[in-house]
Amino acid sequence: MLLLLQYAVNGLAAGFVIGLLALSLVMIYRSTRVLSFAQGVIASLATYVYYQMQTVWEWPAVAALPIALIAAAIVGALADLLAMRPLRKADALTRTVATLGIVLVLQVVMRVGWGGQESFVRPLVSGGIRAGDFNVGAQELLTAFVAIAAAGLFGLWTRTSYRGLGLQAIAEDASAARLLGVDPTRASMLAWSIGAVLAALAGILVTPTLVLNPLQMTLIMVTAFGAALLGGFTSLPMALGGGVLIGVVQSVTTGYVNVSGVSEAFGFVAVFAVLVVMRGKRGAVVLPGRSAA
Amino acid sequence: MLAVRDIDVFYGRVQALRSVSLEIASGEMVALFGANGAGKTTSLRAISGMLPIIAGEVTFEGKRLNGMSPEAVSGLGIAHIPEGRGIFPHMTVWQNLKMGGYGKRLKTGPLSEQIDRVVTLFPRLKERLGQQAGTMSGGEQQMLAIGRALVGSPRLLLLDEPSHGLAPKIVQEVFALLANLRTEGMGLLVVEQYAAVALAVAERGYVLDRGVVAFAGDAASIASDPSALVGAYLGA
Amino acid sequence: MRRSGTPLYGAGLAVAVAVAGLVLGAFWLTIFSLAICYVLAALSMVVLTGWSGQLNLHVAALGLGWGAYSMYALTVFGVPVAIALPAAGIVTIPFAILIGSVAVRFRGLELAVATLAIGLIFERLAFRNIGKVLASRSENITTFGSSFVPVGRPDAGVVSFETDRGFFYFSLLLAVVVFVLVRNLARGRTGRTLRALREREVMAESLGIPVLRWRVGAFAMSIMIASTAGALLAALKTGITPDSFNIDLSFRLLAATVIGGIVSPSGAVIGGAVAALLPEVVQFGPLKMFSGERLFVLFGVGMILALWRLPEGLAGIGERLRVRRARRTLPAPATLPDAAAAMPSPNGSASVRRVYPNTLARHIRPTLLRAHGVRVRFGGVVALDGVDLSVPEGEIAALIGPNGAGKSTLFNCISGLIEPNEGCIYYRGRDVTGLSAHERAIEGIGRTFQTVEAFREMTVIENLMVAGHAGVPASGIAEALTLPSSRRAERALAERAHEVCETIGLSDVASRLAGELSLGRLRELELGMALVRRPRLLLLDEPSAGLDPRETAALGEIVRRARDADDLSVLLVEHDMTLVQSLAEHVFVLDFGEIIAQGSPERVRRDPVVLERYLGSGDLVLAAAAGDEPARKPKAVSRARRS
Repeated sequence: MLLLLQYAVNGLAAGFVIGLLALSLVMIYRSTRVLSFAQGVIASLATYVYYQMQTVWEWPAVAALPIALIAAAIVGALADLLAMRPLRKADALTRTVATLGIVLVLQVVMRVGWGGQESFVRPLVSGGIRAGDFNVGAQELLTAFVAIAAAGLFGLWTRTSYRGLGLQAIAEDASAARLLGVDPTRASMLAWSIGAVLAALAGILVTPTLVLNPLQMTLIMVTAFGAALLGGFTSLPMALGGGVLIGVVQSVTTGYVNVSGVSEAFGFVAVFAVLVVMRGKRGAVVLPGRSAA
Repeated sequence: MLAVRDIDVFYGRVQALRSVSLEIASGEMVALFGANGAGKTTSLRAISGMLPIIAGEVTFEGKRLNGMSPEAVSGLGIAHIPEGRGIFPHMTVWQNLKMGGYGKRLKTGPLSEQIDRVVTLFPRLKERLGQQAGTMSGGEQQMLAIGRALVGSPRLLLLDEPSHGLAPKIVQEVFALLANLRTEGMGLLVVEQYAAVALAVAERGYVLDRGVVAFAGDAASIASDPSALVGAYLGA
Repeated sequence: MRRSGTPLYGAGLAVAVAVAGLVLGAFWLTIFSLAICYVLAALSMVVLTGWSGQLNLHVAALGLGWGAYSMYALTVFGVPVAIALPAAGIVTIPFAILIGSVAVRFRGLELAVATLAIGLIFERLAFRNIGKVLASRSENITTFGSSFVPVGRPDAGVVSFETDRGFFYFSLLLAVVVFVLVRNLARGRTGRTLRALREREVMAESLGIPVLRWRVGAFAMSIMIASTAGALLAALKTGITPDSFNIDLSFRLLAATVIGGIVSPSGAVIGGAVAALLPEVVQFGPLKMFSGERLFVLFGVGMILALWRLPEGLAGIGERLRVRRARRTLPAPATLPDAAAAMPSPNGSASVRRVYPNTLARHIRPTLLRAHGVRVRFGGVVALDGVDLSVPEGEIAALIGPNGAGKSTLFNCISGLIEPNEGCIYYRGRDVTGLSAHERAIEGIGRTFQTVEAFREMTVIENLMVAGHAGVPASGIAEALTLPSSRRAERALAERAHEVCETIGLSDVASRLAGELSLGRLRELELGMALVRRPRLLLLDEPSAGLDPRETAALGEIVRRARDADDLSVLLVEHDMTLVQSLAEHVFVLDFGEIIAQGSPERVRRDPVVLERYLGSGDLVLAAAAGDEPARKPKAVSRARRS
């Protein structure tokens, strides 16, 4: 029983990381209807930048972290500018496929910059807490805190500030939002920047426990799809919660089942299962042309 | 204030408007009638920038609107309330109202004052500031849509079928309110299918028939001889 | 997909490559063999995405990997590689259908994510462990417990394909066979149906095509081709590792296919060739900076550029040049006349509108369509509130009403796109409320749509042929092998198509793409498509929208002639009262989801209840009535409008 709980607690950190990635996916999807496959590589890239500053140049984390986040925001904005803006008249599926192009390009950028090696990043904080027979690492706690804080802050910003409300308005009714003055191209860039920052946080926080590897982040990101789907791709808290849930179950499964690839696969099964469940909830009729005469 | 001169508008290869002209002076309410597909909504969308104008010109207070994006047009002081109202259902009433001030240099005071001003006009909204907009009745949503537009102190209001789905009593209320807005110098262009209530309030009206202005005149003359109207809806 | 001179180019290319194979060294033979594998993988994506509009994001696992492991499984059970390799594709079909049946219930983005999830489950879980299990069963003890799976090359006894050159020719032969089969399908009924599905799914459904079944079929076909490619790949590399079929390979193949052109088989050839050859080409000269992993920057950028500017890929360039040379011009936009333009005189038409001498005359005729108590709610909004109507055989009836009255909703209930919350639809005495749209189409209900739903990317004749597909059984295998039975069926479809083409007056543009027609002719085409299968009931949704009076009159004439020829019934939704008055024998007026009046067009036009609904008040009605006829007292109506 205790073992189960320990596994569960171990899974929390990974869960919050998945949740952060899910938040970034939801952020971008809500405002642009695009499912960004690039969030995983953006997370990796930001982590490599952070690694460069913190481990190679030995800057203090306090300096390296904000700079890495700003770099991520810039990368996100550039991705939107170069890949999404030219395709703004295309349908959402085409733009989603285009994000795969961003994946390919950024993978090469990382390969060129850091040779594709797996590298070690020092955790932001060390030590831990013992509660009876439990171990909870400080890094895990920090991850949880950051994820919740990020979700809370962005949620609040979306609900109160003009720009944040503008993003939500575009998500709910794009043409009505435009009639009120919201510029969809600027909104898209903003969403991508914020999404990139959230993804960067996920990457930087997870890296000490998970090896730095672009492929790995892409796989975690697919799991994040499942979490985002749980929130219907609109709810930020549910996306975060979904991530935690998936992370915990994955960890528990790894603990008990010793077949290679099972816990990873669980994430993908979760994605598929959520798709099936969500499908059942919605209606069916697909009509061409205008609505009722 | 607003001058639409001989505009042609297309949907793909289909011509929706042909040489349509109309005018609105400040402090005036003008009604736009016609059957479905006649081009009423298209006219509003052309003015607010949602549809490109292929020929002709639209000017607002001397400024040419052709080719401007809806965001830009909104910034000039033109508010378009689309058919179906365009309120944001998952946002609260207050958040919707706040969006009325998006990107606008709020002329007569900070946002809270503007919202106060508006909810005084619409007491029912005042009670529901924290409520999700999508849970309100059709009439309340219409008031929210109008109120939201008013937050930005527009000089021209474009309304698409404000009576859609509303009880007659509420429709009367809405139009009475719209009538009062004229005293502040605001111009109003109201698209309506149900002519009677609009004719009771508007100064002038235009009747569109298959993309062309079939009749233009003051409201009284349309009301006394509605043959042009009936012809547009039900055939000659 | 364009009809182009591909057979000649394809044959030429195959011959050229075959000849080249005689002189190339081992290294290049391997590269070319790899290119053939990638070309087949790209072809699988063309069939799935380009033809049926579905997206498989992990073709490496969900496709290639299946084939490889299936072939290996077959060899473990004693099947020689020479048979196992081609059979691998066929063996995967049942699994493909199984997975496909689930997957195709998703659309667009969800389907893409579903394929990604399923693919990853296979890649990260199933393959690793199956590999181990199978290896333990083979006689080769050295592979026990490892995840590397060795695969042999085909050996047909008399001829060995084990050498690089031998294997190259084996692959080329297999690829040519696959391409020929696919091409046969593309040019016939399968290709047409899939293209129709991709362009306008609802219209295809309304033409009687069982959409879901076809999507599964396309999915299975795509997986089969990809499996064959995967088996080839495994034999080429004489082994499979867990990473052979990872997500990177999928993304790269997708990018290469998009660049080559995801809508045509020639695009697949270009895409596959690019994927295999580009890594070698960049070793030389100025492109050297892109060698190794950096190459994929070109893939990524190329894909985005292709999506932006060249959606048909590099293969599309040839098509564009051809179009430019042919200098086809679009007809000028249809313009509206002055409001005072002369309306066609009611007596000028060839056939005459029937008039019922009295209401009893209408009720005597047998009923074709009956709606009883139909109620439809969308969330909290009542769209239809107890609609009762009936249309007898051979009548042209019209449905009019103000904006938002529920006309399209009612139409969709009758044609089967919406199921009512309450109430029934009877057709020829039978309760069809539970039948789907395509089933009703097969029963004889045809319809058109407000947005003209003819398939723009097919020719006029192809459109009419697609309209005739439904209910006629056909065999995909007969088609792929171009057996006489399938050729006979094609001829019959074409004959009927030309017949209808003649009736609707489009014979002069029979071979033109529907997208090039003017709106009026497009509407006539759509009408023709509804008529191909000789329906008993024709539903026309705002047929005159966007047409000038001349075009409207022409359309009305076709409708009347069709009714006179076959004694079918027509129900049309309309706002153009000129058309209604010249065409309709009976009019229903719908408002707020119920029938408020019905009768002859003249009667309805003067009905005070109807006038009041349209104009909004009794006073205006009085004024209108005063200008019309000797005073008739309108009924005092106080109606509460629903909000």
